[in-house]
Amino acid sequence: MTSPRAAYATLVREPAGAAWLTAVRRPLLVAVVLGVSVAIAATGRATPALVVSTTITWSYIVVLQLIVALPIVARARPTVGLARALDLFFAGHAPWSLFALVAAAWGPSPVGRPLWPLAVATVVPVVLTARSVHAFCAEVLGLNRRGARWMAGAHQAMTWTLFVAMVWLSSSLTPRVLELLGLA
Amino acid sequence: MTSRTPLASAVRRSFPRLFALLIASIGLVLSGMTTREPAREPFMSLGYAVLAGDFHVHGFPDGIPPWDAVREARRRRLDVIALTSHNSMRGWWLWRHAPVRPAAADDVIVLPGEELTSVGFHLALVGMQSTLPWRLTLADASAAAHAQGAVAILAHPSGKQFRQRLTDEGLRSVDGVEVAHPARETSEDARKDFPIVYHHALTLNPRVAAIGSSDFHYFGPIGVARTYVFVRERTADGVLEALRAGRTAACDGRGNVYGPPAFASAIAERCRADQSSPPEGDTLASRAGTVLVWLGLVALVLLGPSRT
Repeated sequence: MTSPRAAYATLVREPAGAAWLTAVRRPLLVAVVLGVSVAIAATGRATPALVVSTTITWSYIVVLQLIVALPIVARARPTVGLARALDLFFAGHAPWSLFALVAAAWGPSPVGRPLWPLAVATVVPVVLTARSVHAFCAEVLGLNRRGARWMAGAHQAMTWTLFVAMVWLSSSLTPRVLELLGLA
Repeated sequence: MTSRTPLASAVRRSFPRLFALLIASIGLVLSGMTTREPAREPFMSLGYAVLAGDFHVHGFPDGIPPWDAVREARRRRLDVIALTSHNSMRGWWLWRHAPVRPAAADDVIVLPGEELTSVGFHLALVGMQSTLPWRLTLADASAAAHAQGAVAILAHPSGKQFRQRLTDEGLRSVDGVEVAHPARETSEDARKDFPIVYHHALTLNPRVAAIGSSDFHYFGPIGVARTYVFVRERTADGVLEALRAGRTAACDGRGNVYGPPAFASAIAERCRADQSSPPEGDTLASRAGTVLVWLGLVALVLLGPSRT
């Protein structure tokens, strides 16, 4: 997580030819992590019924991440194969996965708790994830420094645009932004 | 000399991940070992049935799926909730089309609603049939909600923009004011503004309802602030009628009560008991299970991808 280039450099030298299970295991883990995190944050528990429900409903995040990642991951088909590339790419989700799990354990409070510490702490996964994507582009795709930076930047820009759009729609941000800017 | 078979080698290499997966799986099984929530004893006071409600609950994706929210409401001793998505009725739509109906649905009244998220104010609209445009003024939005037979509750009334834009006409138009809300724990503004706005609303409309809401999104618990509603009949219409008539008292997460003295004192003990009791249905096994699920997943994430 903290040395993604070294990790990817090692992993990419492993023999290719992984099975479909390899392709789905890490996206599946991310979906379960999100589902469990939401379940624990919201209710303080992770019963099977709750986890199944939250994992299925929140898997739309994983699907969107897959869509955004596919143009990058597909470029790794000749080197490590699509299945292994997906596995390696989603390994870069570890910072956000850990953040979600820690936030879930920290967040619930019997009377309510300020969420700004969580907002500040997002800096850590934001930075680590950008480094992971960059490392993936450099080591797995074999891009030079500039190419890797461009590719990682494009991926992060797409991801964040999608994220802001989702939050904008679900939280109805238009009136809030107008209010903040004093435009209404 | 013995040489390891490829299978043995793979198992050995995967052992930490398999172990973490086993821990998480055992945790999931244990976390399901809950007990059935006991039947709620009807609570009568002042000649009314008293229901515990949370009239500001967000549904997926700005909260958890409504069927889970209903299950959680039952576990937290709530009798009625309103699904209030931001400027939409997505939460209610999902509930209407729910693939699963929890057993708790028999015990919890679920009301359609939206949180009108506008410039300068938010309104929890309860009993809605269709959404309202967010550009309406507070008074117009309340009137439009009333025309649908709904109740307009001023949500978390605090902040500079809110204070600057609030008019007596707008405040007079609402049926209730959130005087208990988790923001009281986190914002000095909220601590100061909520009681001021509520008491000013009372001077304009003596029947304005004191409301406690959790504004439940992702971080629980639901019902951390709640409203006790004194109803004539235990139905959605009965709840809306009581809200319109102002027969309520609000209760915050610390067990403080707000509202007309007669109603507030009638539920003071109930409020403290509900807020200080652990959620229903949990067992030692289920709590341990949740911890194991969490630990197993943390380990799986930290271990990273295995080698091929």
